[in-house]
Amino acid sequence: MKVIALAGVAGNLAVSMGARLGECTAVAITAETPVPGLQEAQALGASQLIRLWDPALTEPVQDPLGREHLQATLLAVLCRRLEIRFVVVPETSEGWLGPALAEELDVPHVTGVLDAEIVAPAVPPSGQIPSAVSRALAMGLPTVRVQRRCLSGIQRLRGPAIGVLSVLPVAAGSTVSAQSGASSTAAGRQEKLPLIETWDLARLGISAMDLPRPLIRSVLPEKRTELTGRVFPNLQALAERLRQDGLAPLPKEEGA
Amino acid sequence: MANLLVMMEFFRGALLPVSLETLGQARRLGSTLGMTVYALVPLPPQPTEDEDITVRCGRFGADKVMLLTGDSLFVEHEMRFEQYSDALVAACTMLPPRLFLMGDTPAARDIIPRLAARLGGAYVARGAALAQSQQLVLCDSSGRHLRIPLESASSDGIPPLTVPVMMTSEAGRYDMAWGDQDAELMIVPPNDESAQTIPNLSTSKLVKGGFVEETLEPLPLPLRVGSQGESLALSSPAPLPSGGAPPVCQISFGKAAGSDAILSPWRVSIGSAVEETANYQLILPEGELATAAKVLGGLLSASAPVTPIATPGPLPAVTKELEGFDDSNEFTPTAESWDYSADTLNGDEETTARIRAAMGADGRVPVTAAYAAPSVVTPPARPVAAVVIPARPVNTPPATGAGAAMWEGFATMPDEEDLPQDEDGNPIFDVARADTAPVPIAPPSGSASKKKEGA
Repeated sequence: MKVIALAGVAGNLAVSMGARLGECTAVAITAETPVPGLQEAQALGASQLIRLWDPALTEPVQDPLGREHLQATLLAVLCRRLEIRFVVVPETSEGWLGPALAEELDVPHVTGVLDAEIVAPAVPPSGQIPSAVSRALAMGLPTVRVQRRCLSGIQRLRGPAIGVLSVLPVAAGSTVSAQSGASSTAAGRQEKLPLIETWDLARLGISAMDLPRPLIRSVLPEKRTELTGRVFPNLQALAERLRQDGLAPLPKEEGA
Repeated sequence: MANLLVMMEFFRGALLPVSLETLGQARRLGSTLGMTVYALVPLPPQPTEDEDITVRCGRFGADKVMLLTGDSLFVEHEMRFEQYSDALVAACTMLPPRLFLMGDTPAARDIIPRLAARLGGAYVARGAALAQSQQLVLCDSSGRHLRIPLESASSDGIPPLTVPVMMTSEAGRYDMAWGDQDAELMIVPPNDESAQTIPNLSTSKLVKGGFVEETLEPLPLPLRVGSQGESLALSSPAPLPSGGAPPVCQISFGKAAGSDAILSPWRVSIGSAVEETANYQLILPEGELATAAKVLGGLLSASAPVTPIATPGPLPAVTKELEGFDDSNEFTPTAESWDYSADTLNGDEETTARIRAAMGADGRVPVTAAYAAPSVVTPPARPVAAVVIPARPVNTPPATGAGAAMWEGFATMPDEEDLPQDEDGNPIFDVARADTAPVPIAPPSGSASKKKEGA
């Protein structure tokens, strides 16, 4: 299975997870040389290193409000060129990259991912709604199990290896195991010592006119409104609100 | 009129406070800017014994409640875009949003950016939507004002595009709003084909058969609430799962390093100084932080049931005089709770005046079987001026002949001298004694009718 992972962001978590899932192509979108993150990506088990850059990207990549939209477009084009439809990206501050990329590729996405692994496909019991597992079997794709953090707990999802995962940038134990696992499984691949390929817009098959224009910009000259949080009068009020927010013990814990 | 959609999120059967806060801000925007506020509520497969969600959303600010329907909505424990995409796209097709809001939760971070990408809208994470000088002001998470270039670009008489804005809003950012209005209920049918009516969606296929939930492992309390600076005295009856996860809520005591908004939607600061990045604040002296950590840990670990957020009751009648408003027709937005208890004249002022004339001195309409007074809200008493009904020329009905039956029983105005008069000598119309009985319709007996029957 081929995977694309965005390198150089949040400690290369995406690359380590991607390398553990399959044959990983690490991609960095940057003008800097040496490319930050890509050398480490090779050590983490990436089999192909790609630097996406073009002088036309200089200005748009510096726009914090449009950067993730741009990254999503570029990664989507690269995915189509390489015919890879499984991507791992880090969860970003805006949170736009993963879902927007999935929309461009027309594949599912999962946010808040803590861990992912290849699992044996299981045929669902008959009578159930046709699940992603059966679809994966039909397409010959491996099955991926994803752990996702949500408000009430850790959700375990299962689906075909087609989609975009947004990995939470946390130094969790799962990540450590992913790194060690990636290093061991990719030991053979490192003998190849891949070189960093540089892809520009022409190689991607697009022009600067195809780059997305930001839908939203900051007002110039800059204006700000101070946004403050809620101030609680005492600990009891704060605790009650946190409990109303769903952070209180679950019923199972209450009995313990 | 622009549509303002608010996605409501439930947790353990109750509406999350951040959803109600977001709905409250939507109410303020709607009242100030003239937008209609829709609360999007997934229709549960089983009816709950809880209060009517339509009433609840209405009291907290919704003009209308849109029930999202579909088999996939409650397949998983929490909302994800994959399960909600059909319903949300159908809702946005029915009511193209100018602004789509949702409280900043893990579910919102999964749903809103993807929905923005699908609708071709702009996405603002943890932003703020404000009404300033009768204008909608959008801010990013740092409070920086934003603009949408496409909406200001117009040429050759072509109106600028309207770009829907999808925004998540953090907990604690806004106050809730409440009122005495019940929302109107609407239902969004599941319709896969509805997406094709939006141009941006015509080229997008709906993804089916992606990831599905296998299990949900509940997070123990220490992984829901984490702390920096001081240790919370949390009871941890459940073993921590291997691998760990970042806490959903991060509490910083004192001058601890600021928590990460990517990792923790809820960020609490307890200390002597205001922390700008926190959504919840508690100001305490430095010397009390250790004690506060112990107390807070105990309060959070308590097994007492969670106090639900009560639906506000009817508002008291407004008696305070508004200052600074010379023109009674001037729109008076307020950041406080809204109040629609005072009726306003609509376009049919004559009819309204006659209804007021029929009211008693206490402002109530006489109760009949067909008209029951509202059970919740009593309109405030208002003085009712005596209404003079001028005498009109009355055509005296024929006493005999074919037209007599038609006029039988028809109420006629008494002579002016017979009417009761007030102290100024003006006649008073007595509603109670007015003859409003239905008129029996007698079969016509004239030759003209026979001719008509024969025709």
